[in-house]
Amino acid sequence: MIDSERDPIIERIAREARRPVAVEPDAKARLMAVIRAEGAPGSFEADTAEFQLYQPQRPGVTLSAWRLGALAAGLVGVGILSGLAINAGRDSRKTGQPPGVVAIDGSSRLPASNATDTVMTFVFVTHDASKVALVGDFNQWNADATPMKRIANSNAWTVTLPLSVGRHVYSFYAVGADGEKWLTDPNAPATPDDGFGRRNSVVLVPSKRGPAS
Amino acid sequence: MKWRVAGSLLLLCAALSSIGAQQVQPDPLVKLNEWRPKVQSLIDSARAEGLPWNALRLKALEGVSKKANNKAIYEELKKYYRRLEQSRAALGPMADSAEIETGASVLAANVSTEDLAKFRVPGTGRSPMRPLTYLADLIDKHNVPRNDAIEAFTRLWKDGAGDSDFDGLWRGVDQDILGGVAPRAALQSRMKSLPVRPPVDQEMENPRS
Repeated sequence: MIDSERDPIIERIAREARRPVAVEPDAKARLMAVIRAEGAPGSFEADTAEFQLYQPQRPGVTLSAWRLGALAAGLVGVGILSGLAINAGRDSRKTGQPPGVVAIDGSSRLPASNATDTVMTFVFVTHDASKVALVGDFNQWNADATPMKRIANSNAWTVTLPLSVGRHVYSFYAVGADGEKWLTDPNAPATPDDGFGRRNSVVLVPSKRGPAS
Repeated sequence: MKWRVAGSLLLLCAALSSIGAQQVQPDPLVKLNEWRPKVQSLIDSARAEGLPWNALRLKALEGVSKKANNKAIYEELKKYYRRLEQSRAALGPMADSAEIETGASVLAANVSTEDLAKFRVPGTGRSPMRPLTYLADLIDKHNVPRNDAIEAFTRLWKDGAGDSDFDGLWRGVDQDILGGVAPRAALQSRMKSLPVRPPVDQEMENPRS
């Protein structure tokens, strides 16, 4: 294949991939010395160091079709995550730019914000809950979407997330020894009966340009 | 040629994965079972009428999440649909989705459509979303007498009170009631502490973008 037949985008990727990786000659020896000094790997950091040590080091990389296949597989993963992010925020009420919430792992969440969002922190105090979540229109009333984290040595639970300008209705979902509860925020105005025998709370997110619209 | 094939495969994989990912999460409204078509029909009707249809969808999702009876969810959606219609009629054609939803919430606190219409959204002026949110709260949760609350909030709205005035009023009344003051007395007391202001041209304050 001659150069003129190559796709310019793929050519750019290939050029970047071919760039030599600069490695100091004694880097491997120094890393081995550090790992031997720490003994058997028992921590995450030690495991990571060992993993990095045995990665093949090449002065240059040739981008083959197989490598492109691997890259495609990676993009599949990225596509799935993107799709999840799109789904998490689908059907936004006001701006069409919802505060999507993307799961990174079982214990932490990464909020996907945008320029019009305002970051808000919610705090809820409860004495007998083993799990608390913030649930509302911003997460499609999904009790699994926005778990709150307990502040160490306290009964306070907190979560921070971006919200779009306007009015949002929400509730705290707490699970304890006596089952699950839906609770209002004592520091926020409440709605009348939600139609299901409970009240919700309201947060009014002001515009960055001035008072709440 | 090999490059082109590989590149095309790469793009195809990315596109397919994105489409596939969007099908990962099933619609929670599936849990409504045989009530789902009726609920969907209500949502579709709201969309056709230009009502905030997503508010109805979110109400259905809320009911599902709170494990309400499916029939109860449908019945509540019908009521909510009616309140959204009334709210839009009362607040006027300039009201946006959030204002219509807030108005529907006020109607749920048994405020009449005539009283709600006193907060009609002006053409290029202020939004009644904040005062209406507080009004519903004071009446329904704090048991402030309805007529007193409506009269006070209507006066403030007509006098051109800003969002910060309503914020302060609600926080003050809330604190006083929590401190043991009777709801009506708390409202009257806090109203007196607000600065007297001459009526302003509502079209000039908080202009809409």
